[in-house]
Amino acid sequence: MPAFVSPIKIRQTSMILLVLAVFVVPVIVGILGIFLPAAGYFPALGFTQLSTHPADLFFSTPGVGPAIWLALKTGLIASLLSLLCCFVILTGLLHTSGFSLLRRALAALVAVPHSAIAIGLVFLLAPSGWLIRILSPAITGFDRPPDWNLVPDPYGWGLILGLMAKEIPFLLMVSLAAMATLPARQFAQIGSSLGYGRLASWVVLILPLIYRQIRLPMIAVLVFSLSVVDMALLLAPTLPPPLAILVLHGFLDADLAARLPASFGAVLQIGLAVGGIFIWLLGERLGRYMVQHWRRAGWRLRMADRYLPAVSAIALIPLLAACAGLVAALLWSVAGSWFFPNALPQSLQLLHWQDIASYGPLIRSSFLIAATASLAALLLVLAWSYTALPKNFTNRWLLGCIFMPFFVPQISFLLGMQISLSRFGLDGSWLALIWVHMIFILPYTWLIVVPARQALDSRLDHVAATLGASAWQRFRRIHLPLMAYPLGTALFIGISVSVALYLPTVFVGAGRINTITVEAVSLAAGGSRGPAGVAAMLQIAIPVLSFIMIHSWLRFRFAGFAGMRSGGLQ
Amino acid sequence: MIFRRRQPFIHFCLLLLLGFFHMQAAQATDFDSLKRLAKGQTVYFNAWGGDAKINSYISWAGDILQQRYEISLVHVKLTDTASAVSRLLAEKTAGRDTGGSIDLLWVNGENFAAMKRADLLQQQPWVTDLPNWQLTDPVALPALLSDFAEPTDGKESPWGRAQLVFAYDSARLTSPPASATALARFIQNNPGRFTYPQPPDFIGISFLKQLLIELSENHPALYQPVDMANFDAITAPLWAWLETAKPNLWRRGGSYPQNYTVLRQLLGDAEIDIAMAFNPADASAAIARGELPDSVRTYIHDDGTLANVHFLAIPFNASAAEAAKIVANFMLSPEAQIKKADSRIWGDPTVLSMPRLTAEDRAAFMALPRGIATLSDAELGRSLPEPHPSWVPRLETAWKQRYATGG
Repeated sequence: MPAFVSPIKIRQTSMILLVLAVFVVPVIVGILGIFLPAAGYFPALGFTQLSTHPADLFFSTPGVGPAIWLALKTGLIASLLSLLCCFVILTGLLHTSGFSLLRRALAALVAVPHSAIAIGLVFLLAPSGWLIRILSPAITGFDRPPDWNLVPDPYGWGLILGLMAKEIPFLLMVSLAAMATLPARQFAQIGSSLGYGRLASWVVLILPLIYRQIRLPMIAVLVFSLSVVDMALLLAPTLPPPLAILVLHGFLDADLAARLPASFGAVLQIGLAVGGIFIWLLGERLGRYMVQHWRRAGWRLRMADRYLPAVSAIALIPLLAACAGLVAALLWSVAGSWFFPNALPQSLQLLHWQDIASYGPLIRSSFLIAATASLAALLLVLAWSYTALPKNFTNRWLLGCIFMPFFVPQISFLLGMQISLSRFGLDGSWLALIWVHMIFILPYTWLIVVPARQALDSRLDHVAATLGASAWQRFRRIHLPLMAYPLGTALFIGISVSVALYLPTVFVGAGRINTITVEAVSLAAGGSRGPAGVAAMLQIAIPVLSFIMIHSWLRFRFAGFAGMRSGGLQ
Repeated sequence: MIFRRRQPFIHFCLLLLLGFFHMQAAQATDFDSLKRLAKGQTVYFNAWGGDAKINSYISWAGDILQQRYEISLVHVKLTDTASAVSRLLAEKTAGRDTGGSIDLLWVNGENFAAMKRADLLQQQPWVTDLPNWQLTDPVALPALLSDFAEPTDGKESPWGRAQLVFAYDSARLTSPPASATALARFIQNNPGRFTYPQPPDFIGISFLKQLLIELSENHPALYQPVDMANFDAITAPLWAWLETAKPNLWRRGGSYPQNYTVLRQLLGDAEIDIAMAFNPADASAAIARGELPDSVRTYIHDDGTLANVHFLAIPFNASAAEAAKIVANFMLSPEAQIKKADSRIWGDPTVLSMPRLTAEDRAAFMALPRGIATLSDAELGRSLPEPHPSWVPRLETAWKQRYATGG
């Protein structure tokens, strides 16, 4: 035992312990919570023998094979198409005049909850949806909706489109962030000086470099797509549904023993994610081989550039569909009667909006959870970034824990967590819910705050210190103004992430604490179009209002530092 | 000697008399003390939340309970009541005998039977102690005491009545098919224009039961606990009916709406021709809200349709059992029942007995608008009792085995 332990060491140890308590414990609890029941061990129900019974039961669920295939297929296709569209948009539209506008629209779309997008797409694309209403009867000749298998379609294309509408903006934002360190323009110039067309220069020179940097977010997108629940509830087929929904059904079953096979399903969902990642990595090799082949062949493909604008327009379709869907949701929220095939509501009314008082508690709880959880995440990351050694920022294990929510299917981890929380009577408590939201917010906060902290110029610090400023004064007077915009961005992203969370709220809120997102999904699933339209609009309103509040406060408080800011809210 | 021998008898009579008066007084004071205990409590009311008009009715009740009794009513909106039963079961197995997460539950049929089996209800009967219970008449409406043939044992308080009714658009369809066989013909001739909510949805299962009763010619075994030995034989006509119908169902039977509100929306969109609901006034209310065209009308099958009563139950470990009883009593009051029976609000038929009400309340019930598409009480007269609840899970499993794999 050393006679003297430095206070820095104590601080660091306690920070590590704190991160362990916040992240590692839930991981272990969540994983144990499903692996034990999946193996037949659930003492609360009298199952104390390990057995393959849960596995047998799960595999005997009608439709389980097609359900797994559906999840794998939609997840992989959605991820691949999202990546392709993202690259096509970058190649075709970056540095063009409209791109800054597109970039703003993307930032807005990233903040729109998944479920709101799904609600809009149902309103737009169903056989009785807005699109066919606009075309009917003039073009289609329909005076009644056609009996077409659209949304949900048996192949899951509706779900794929919904996922793409959400993932393309995300991947584009991540790619643009990655490109900040890449001299893309110069690469393109080098390419064209060698006689390569725009398409060829991008594919051969730039895209591989971008991909290398967005690889992890890409895998996160893949895992999310393989196990998505809220979008699947509205857009996926139901006979059978994708695997994650089958697991959810088992969890909601009146028969408690159904949780054992459901836990096995949750384990299988992890297996599906691992399998999906494996296939994706094989695909990466194939992609690398193809690009290398292209390089060796030296295809200039200048002719292809002519088609780039058209192809990028096609790549924008999912985003346009999402926006049109949100307009349809807005229309439904103020619609009185709106019967097929009218293109617009026959009457407008504010009836559904008059009910807004009944949404009051939901708005309050959504906002409260979002604000508390993202503030807590922000404080934790700040504290961590001020106490940890730089080597801890790259510690693989710690990073692995923090980014765990990105790489473990939500339903697997949450099912186990719920089982464990309910053992201690903690499910349905505000504390548990805010905690879970924070776990999902923290990776984003980390990605924004830690680089901002590292980018601070330490010389300013030294100068301030020589002028006699204490550590706290230096933080308040120098660091805070300099990092104000990234911190504000982190807060805003945290709030958007929290508002969008569906499954964590369903599992841990236990029905007692609801948010506007849970309400929106159940209203849309119940076919109440007007109220669902209102709920979808409210879902969007919370992040938008937060953005305005944070942004105007930053402007008011830190306007004088505008010239010094390093990144952040655009 | 004789006098002495008579004394116990007289004592007994006196005691009885005393007890009677005491009980009367006790009931009033009990309820007053209940009010005192309930003050400030929060009732987590777990009720299916898929219908906006029911939700706003519950929030109306919540406002009044807050004003009058200082009880805050929190509507926990369920997508499936079974999930609440499973939550209670989880709490019971975890040994959480007090401070439970559910105080009041909207329930009937199979879910009530499951709660009874697993001892998830209040230990003591409480319903007959509610002052407003006096306004019901269990002799005239036996379903108040027997929920899907399961005795309620005074552990669930009636809330409303329900009967399966079908809705159609009279502008497109002149004479709707009023029996299982007529419906089969209709489906054959109008491919893609009929569907039903996907079991295990409550209305979906009820539709299967309705078909089963009609096709098996009201087999007596349906009212007994299900016997697997003859399950296949009795249900064979049902599966044959569904098999014939499937290729001509909406989306060729490859996809089903998830609940009756979606089904109603499909009727409004003219995607299908017939919808169904467990509430005779549902279509009228939807017309009033502009969700269905005003040419929609309702009908029932010639042999009658399923009818039942739905209830409010208090779980064994409720945190606010006192306030939950006040809520149940309020829900049974003429004031709340009149509001609920109003088709502009919800349109759920009352469980109160008209002769037991004051003239004023009776008049208020009579004055309610029936709604343009609602059948009269006489037309709704033909009703079928619910089969034994044990049939529900069997039908559910059998349906899933046949149709849940897609294709």
